[in-house]
Amino acid sequence: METLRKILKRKTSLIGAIILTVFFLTALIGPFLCRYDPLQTNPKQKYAQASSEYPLGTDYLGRDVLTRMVYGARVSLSISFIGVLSGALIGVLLGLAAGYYGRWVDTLISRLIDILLAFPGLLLAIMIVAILGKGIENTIIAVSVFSIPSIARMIRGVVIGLRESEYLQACKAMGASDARMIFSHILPNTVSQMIVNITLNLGTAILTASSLSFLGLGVQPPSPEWGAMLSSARDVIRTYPLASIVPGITITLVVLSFSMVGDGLRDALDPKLQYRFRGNL
Amino acid sequence: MKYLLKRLLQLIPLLLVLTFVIFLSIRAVPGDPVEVMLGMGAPENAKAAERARLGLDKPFIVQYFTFLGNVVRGDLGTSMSTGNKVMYEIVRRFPNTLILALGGTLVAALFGIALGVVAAVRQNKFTDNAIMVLSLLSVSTPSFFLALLLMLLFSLYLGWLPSIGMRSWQHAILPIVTLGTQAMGMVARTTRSSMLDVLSQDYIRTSRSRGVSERVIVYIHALKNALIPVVTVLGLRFGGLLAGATLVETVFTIPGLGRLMVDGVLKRDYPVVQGTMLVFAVSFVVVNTVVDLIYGMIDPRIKYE
Repeated sequence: METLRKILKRKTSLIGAIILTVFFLTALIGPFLCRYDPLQTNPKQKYAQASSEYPLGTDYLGRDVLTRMVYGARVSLSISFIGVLSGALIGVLLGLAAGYYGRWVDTLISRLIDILLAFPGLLLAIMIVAILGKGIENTIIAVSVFSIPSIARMIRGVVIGLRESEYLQACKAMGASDARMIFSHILPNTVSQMIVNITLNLGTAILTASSLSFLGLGVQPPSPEWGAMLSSARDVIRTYPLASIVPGITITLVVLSFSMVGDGLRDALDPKLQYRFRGNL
Repeated sequence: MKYLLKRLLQLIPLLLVLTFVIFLSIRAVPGDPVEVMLGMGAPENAKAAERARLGLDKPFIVQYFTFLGNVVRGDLGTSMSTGNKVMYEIVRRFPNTLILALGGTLVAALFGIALGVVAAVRQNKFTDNAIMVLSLLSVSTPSFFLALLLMLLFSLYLGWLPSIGMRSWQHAILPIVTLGTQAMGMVARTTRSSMLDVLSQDYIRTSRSRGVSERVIVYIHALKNALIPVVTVLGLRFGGLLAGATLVETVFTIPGLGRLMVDGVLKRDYPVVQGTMLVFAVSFVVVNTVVDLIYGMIDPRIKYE
């Protein structure tokens, strides 16, 4: 509760949280409120300008842009959530193993993390699509792979810090099993940093997934996805700029909101930062 | 010197692992490359002959060493879609990507450091908040969208700059600004927090009490030390921009390395995908090593043994 209050006190985090809530609701209930089918083409209404009938105009196949944006929220947010959460699951397990067991397990996992981190996210995503092929499922896999290293490294760091702490030594002396040590005593201590990492990764995931779709490697037409919509509208950007600008601004807004909420969470949950802040005073 | 040699020697196993991973992953792609080349339903003996010609009938490990030998000799195979040597296609395009990434890094360094210093000096004031929101916006805007907006404004509406291709220095301005803006936010944030760290240290307080002017303190005493972490970020961003240039190359129709790779993926042109991945991977390894070395040079506290 205290944390929530701290986050909402920060103006930028509050704005971010409001914007995200709007987009979540749009993704959840928006499709039920739409008049049009996101896939139904209507060649007679190609590139209609914004009007009361089509609030954001129509695209090159006469499909309502607003409807496609609403359905696109579902596609983009689910890619990002499923991808990041599955990546986080793998990352947390790797981080726990590396930090807790140390020695060769740590060396092996740390080298793997180093290699993954050495590659920019987009390149890693393109490589994965090159191997697995295009499409929504493989975009999710690409997002999850690129989410693994940052969380794994963070968790490893936390676990190493905790390993020598007195209360864990006491647990061990009382004969707690490895599984009990890890899941009941170490894991709960990593939750706050995990949440911050996941929130920040969700924004990056939206960027990566929409970039892949923009390049023609991610979600394939006719599925409504923001990056793909922008890509198909850019040839006519001069005459129908709205069709590119709407998805572009939407992506920016969502990514920005995840960053603002993530920053707020970090400040509220990370005691180290607060200490530094006081040090500055 | 000994450290430099050690770092260079360390690169050899890393590059071996990378070439192996890339080679393995291209082989893991479902589908028969020979079938892609000759078309579905090609006669079995033609396929066997093609396989023998490409050496695909040999054991996997033999294929890998043949590949490695060719790479060392600069032969990355032949593109299946254009029939040109992959090395030729890469050499033709790599300079464009390099110019974009270097230019972007320079823009990010100039503006990012300047904004970060101003934000730190005016900590928690309006200017600081405005700069931080701006830098957050710059990292959140997809580069392909920013590229489109700049193109719409400066090429299509105002007609000041060319919109597509890479034939003159004017062509490079918009792509470089796009990449630079994206990296700028991160540089500004790092500079700000690093400046704040340094400005709260004892030697700065000593300088202040000695009556050194605030300008000298900020720009000479503090900035010099504050730049150390910024250099790392810039180095890593440079690597990121090499790959990130792919999106900008797509928008501005610039023949670059990233675009070559994406086209290769779309056309299932495996030699091209393999070659471009290899060049990217080697570039990142080199960039990361150079960043490490520079870090040691500018921060005498770090001793490599």
